[in-house]
Amino acid sequence: MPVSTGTWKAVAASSPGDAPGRTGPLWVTGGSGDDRSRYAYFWVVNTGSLPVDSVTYSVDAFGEDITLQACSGTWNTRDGCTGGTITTVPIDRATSGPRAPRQAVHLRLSSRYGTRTAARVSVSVDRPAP
Amino acid sequence: MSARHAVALRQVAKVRLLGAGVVATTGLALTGAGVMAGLNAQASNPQAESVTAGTLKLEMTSRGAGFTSAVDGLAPGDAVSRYVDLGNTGSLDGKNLTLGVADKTPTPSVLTTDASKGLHVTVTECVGSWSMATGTCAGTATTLLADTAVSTLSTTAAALPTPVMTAGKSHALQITVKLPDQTETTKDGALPANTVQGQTASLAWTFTMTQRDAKATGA
Repeated sequence: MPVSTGTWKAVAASSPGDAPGRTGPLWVTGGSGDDRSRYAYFWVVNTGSLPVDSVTYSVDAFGEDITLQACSGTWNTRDGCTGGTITTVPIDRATSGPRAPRQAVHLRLSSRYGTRTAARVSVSVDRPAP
Repeated sequence: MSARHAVALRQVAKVRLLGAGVVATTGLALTGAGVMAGLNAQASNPQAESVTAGTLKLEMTSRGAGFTSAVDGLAPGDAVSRYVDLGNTGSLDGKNLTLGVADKTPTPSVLTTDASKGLHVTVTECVGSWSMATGTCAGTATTLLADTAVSTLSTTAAALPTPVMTAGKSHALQITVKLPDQTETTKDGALPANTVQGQTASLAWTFTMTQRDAKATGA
């Protein structure tokens, strides 16, 4: 009788297409321009075979005061969150993420004091959805 | 004694010896003639007695897809059941039913080598009928094998508490395979060492039984 187990994992990537097969943390930096340099955009993709209820983000910003943000609409690297509102995503504790396999969520790191964002982003998954 | 008398005595002795030889030879001849003409007797049953040996057969048949149906994408806490009928199709009763499991993959993984993280098995008999859709027994369900690691069954077959495997009788079994509930953290898409994730096993199930106790019957 063939038996196989599923996988539960997610990874940060610069785009959804970069996620498959990718492992390791993602280095992100702010964009070009004075104001845009505060923001670094990236994706988190469910690269496992099973749905997950939660993920845990950890961000190493090397002393900078960083906020992780989600947009209920669509992120636009020039205009910010369009068609929705910005919410703060918790760091270092379980929170919702890309639930279904291959699903991706778009997030933004924001430097509170206007300095250029540079950080290393990791994503952990403890278990699949029940 | 005179010399003449002594000669006469020697002649008598010769005659006696000759006579004894004639009697002995005759006796042997008579004895030989008796063996040749001895009597024998025998008795046998007019109709041959029929003697046959019984048979001991254990057959496993699938209910539905049974063990041919793959179990894919197990997550911690998942349990999947398959159904088989195990029948003693021989003419002799059996006893000492056991179950062993072997992983036929070339390199068995943690699924079948780790007792705590790997697969576990439960066997339940239903005297009645199983509903394969709901996993419930319409009748009386009896646990034949409580939650046991496949890694254990692959080294030592487990005894199933069925006192007698009656000839001609079939047992409706539910075989449940479970991945124990556990937490395993995957960081940045890289699976941890000794992971249960993305593993495969190919399970071969073997039931065995022995014949009933031998009997010495007088009638």
